[in-house]
Amino acid sequence: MIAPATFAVASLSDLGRMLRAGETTPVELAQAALDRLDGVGRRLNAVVALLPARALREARAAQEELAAGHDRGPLHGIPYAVKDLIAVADAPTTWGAVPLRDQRLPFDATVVARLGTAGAVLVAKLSMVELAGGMGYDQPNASLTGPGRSPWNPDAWSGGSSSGSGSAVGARAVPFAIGSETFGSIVTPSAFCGVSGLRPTYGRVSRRGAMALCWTLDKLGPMCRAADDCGLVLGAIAGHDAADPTSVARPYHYEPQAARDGGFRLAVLRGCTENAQPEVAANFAAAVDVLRGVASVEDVDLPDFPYGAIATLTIRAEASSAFDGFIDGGGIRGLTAPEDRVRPLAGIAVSARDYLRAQRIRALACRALDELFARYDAVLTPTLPTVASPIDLPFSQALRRGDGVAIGAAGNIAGLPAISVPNGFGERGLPTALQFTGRVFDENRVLAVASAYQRLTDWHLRVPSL
Amino acid sequence: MQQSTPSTQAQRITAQPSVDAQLALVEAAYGPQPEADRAQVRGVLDGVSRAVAALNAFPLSNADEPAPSFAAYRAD
Repeated sequence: MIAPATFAVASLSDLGRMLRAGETTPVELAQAALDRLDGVGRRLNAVVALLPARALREARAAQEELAAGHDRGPLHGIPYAVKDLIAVADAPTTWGAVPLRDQRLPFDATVVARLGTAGAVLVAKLSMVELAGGMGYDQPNASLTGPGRSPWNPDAWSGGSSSGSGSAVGARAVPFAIGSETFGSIVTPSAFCGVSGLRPTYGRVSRRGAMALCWTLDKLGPMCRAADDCGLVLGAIAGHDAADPTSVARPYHYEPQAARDGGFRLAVLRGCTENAQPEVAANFAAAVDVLRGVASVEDVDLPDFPYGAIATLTIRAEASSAFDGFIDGGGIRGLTAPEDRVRPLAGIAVSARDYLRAQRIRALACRALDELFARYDAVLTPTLPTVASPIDLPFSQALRRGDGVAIGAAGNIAGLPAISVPNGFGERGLPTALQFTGRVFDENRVLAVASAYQRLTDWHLRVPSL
Repeated sequence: MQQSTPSTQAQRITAQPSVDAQLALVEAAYGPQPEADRAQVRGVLDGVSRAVAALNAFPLSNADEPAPSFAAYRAD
């Protein structure tokens, strides 16, 4: 019987070893996850739906296979959950939106199918900001499940739009979850909830069966307890999918590079801690000092492009199109955040000429960024300049706009991979985080340096008292 | 001296409709909006307008194409 304290801190490799040593079973792990999600998960507004029947069926199948010597790999028998924009047959797929609370899609998304092939056990659909935040929300209370709460301080926002994924993994209710990011939606809840969240290169993971917000920016990725776990999950879900023409044919294999504990080439984005909260800045400096022991570190500037403007036009235009029927048909009037009921109307005024100008500049920016990132294993920044905002404050009051945006905008418009890992604590006992951004398709380099950092520190092993 | 051509000549552009004109477009499409909602939409349009101005200030030539998103399709 696995002790709760063990379940809370065990990595995927730990759990895999315990399963194969007979110290626990897939059924036991699934039940532990279901119980914890039903308790603390619901208190954090992290859960849309538990899937006990499916979970126990998959867990029993995994148990029988492992007993028979049929080993599917590191995720076999491991429980996980998915953000509720990912289709799961026989389950609600609400997209976080009240008007869609009864939506059901009759198939499993490719990412779920691939995790099933890997033997992982799906236990729940997790909460999210309505329509992945694409309607312009300005407050934590923008979801049919209520505001996502941080496991470190329930009066703080979990971050979004993968709010439930951040809370559930941070609360140690599941070892991993699948989130999504258009602009910030994996790294923000990862930072605010103290978990390791990987935004893969655009096109690495099939988006078939996932709600589309912005076709040229949307990515699915793992949110886990450690960087190494992110690599193991990515290894199971990455790869070309004929049903998603934007998925790349370039194969991916996770190579832990555990032997690589030095010789990294890192860069720090100049000015990245200006306007950051003092603890965020201090923890970032401390993390860089740790990394100097295994890396060369130098300051860099991003090439000069209007990254934020490119992101704004791209998201406004594509989201307006992706939800054109929902907007024009009045569906937005049923959304939770009042601003989400109105702001999407502005999308009709974005011209094709302006959108295309953004894409033309974007192409130039991608080439310039590749030239920069080719020189390093990763570029370092704080993931965000602040800790999680209070649950009852709009962002326009609680968060500094424009700070730390450059790497977020640049990274997302260029489809760069990035991982956010915890690196300490700040105001109100809330986690701070460090982001490693890498070159297109260089997930293994980014994961290697993040894993090296986690071998030298223990922030990712801290567990909230809930 | 190489002759400057539309292909090689990087240019900034300046023409963009006013936020008021865009707001009028929104209301032409969706009908008149209550004042509080107009303010919300205007806020979004202000942000878009600033973004467009930043994009317009970045010089591009005819040769600068968007990343290709269309590919001719054949099933086999």
